Amino acid sequence: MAKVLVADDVPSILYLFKEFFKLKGFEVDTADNGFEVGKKLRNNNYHLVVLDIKMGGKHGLEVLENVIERGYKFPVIVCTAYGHLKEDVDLITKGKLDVEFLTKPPDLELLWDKVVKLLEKNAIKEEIGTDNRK
Amino acid sequence: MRLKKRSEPITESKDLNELLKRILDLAQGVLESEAATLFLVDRDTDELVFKIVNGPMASELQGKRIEIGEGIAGRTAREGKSFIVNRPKKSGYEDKFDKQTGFNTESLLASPLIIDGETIGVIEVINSKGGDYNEKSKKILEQLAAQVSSELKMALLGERLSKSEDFLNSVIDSLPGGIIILDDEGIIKKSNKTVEKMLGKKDIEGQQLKEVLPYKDILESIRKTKYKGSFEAVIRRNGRESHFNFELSRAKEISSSGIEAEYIIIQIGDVTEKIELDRLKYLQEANSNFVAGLSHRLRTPLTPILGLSSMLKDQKDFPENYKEMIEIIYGASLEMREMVEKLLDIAKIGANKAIEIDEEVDLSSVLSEVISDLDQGTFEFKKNKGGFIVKGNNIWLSKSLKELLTIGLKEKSHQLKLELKGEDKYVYFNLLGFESLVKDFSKLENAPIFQFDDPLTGDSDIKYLDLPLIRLILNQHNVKISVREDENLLSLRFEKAGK
Repeated sequence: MAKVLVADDVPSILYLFKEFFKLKGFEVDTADNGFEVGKKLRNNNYHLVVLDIKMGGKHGLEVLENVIERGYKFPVIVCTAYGHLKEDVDLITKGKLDVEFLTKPPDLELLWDKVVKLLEKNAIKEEIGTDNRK
Repeated sequence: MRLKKRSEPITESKDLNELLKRILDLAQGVLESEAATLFLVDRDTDELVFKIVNGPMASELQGKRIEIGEGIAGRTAREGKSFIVNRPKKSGYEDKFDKQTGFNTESLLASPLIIDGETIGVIEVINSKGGDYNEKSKKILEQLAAQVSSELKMALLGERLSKSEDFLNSVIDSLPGGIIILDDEGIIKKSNKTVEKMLGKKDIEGQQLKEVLPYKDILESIRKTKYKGSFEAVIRRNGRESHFNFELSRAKEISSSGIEAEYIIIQIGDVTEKIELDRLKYLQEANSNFVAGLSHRLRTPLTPILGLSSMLKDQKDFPENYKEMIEIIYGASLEMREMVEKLLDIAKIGANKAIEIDEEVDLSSVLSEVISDLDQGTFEFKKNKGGFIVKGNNIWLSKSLKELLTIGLKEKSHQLKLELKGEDKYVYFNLLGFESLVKDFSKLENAPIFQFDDPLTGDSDIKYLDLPLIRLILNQHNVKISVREDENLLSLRFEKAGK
């Protein structure tokens, strides 16, 4: 079963993503701040991460930098209320990480399209389920 | 206090010549001489010029020249002391003009005209009728020479003063701000046209400052600065509020006689427009920030409403009325999402940020419509402190703007972003297309300078066109331009109300 980590500091949004991915057959993990994300990434294998940017604890952009530094290869969907942050996200991740950007509130069909696209792309490189922590 | 402009050298002044002639006549009369001459040194050629000549040979000698050192007058000038020569021929002096004119010089007394140690001429009397010239006659001539020197000095100083005053007046008049120069008794010694226009008063020189500026708070503020420093003040006149910036400084003048006088210089700038613009800018920014913040904040609660309702609406096992309710919630949240997007666009427009539009439009027709409105009126704008003055006629300015736009569009047309929204037209483009026109952009904080030659005449006389100026011109024509500046990118937006 594909495993996703959803990170957002708003409980109702976490709930939405959790229910959405559960319905789609994913195993879902959640984190409500940036530090929690780091901790969960170190201890789990994820096939996908859905990440908010303006979160408590650690900023989402910093989380992305850490992900790249640590050499994680899972794809990321950034979902934020601040559309202008796309440039910053691109600047940090371009050529280093598979990232899709969505502005809140996301269209769930569009979200699913991006999930499928990223997982298919990732599956070409390596089979889902392998250790992608390093 | 303004002196009349002199167009001729002081030594050509009719008044002075008459005065000098009177002194020369006096010398000739007192010293009972047949002839008298006043020479002035021509510094350009190091010659003595026969300036005023009395006597039988006057017409022949007037305007003639001798070298300094030549003859007795020349020697007087060179050595800076008086000479008495009775019967010069016997003493071995030969006067070349005697030879030329047939005049016979029997006796001669010459004294130098000295100002501040410098010989500026010679006064000479010839052929004493009452016997030889002697020490007594020498003293008399020297006294008269001193008087002539003094008159000349005053006149020369006057000329210098007059020249510097004319220069000062023209400088003061050309300043964009108002200038008042006060003496230590608070009397206005000088002012310029700008200050007269600002205060709505004429011929203020010679008046007390308190008569011209009858505002207690301003006079009090002036006193508080101890005549050094600045403050802002509001003047209410004819139901209108004007904001002025007052800057005070002191200046000392030392007259030729060594008397020190202190002046207070008050520079007055009308900052009403700037303050109004700053206030509007602040309000606009605050408004934009609020709207942008609102848009971002609304997105968060909207996310679960839209997301969960979209998930629920696909559930098949709900009763029909529940399905209907969920559809309504979902539809309303979609509507809200659209409104949130619009809010952000409004905030971007308010903050002068470009919004990307993919719609295809006829750009040239929009631009030509904007530009066609710029073909009337004459413009003269003065920028505030730290800037420069721009003057120009409408044709030149509109052509320049047209050139700016044309070149910008030609070179980087793919960077243009354009929106036609309702009756309003927005045109966006960035500065990368104008690299060849922009000088020292990086050095300027707020006023990028566009440098052009006059496209009509080829003159570079008026070179600078700045954004505040463009903005003002466009405002005159109901076209608004706004600017977004990043580190190395400048975006301009034109907004024209549809007809």
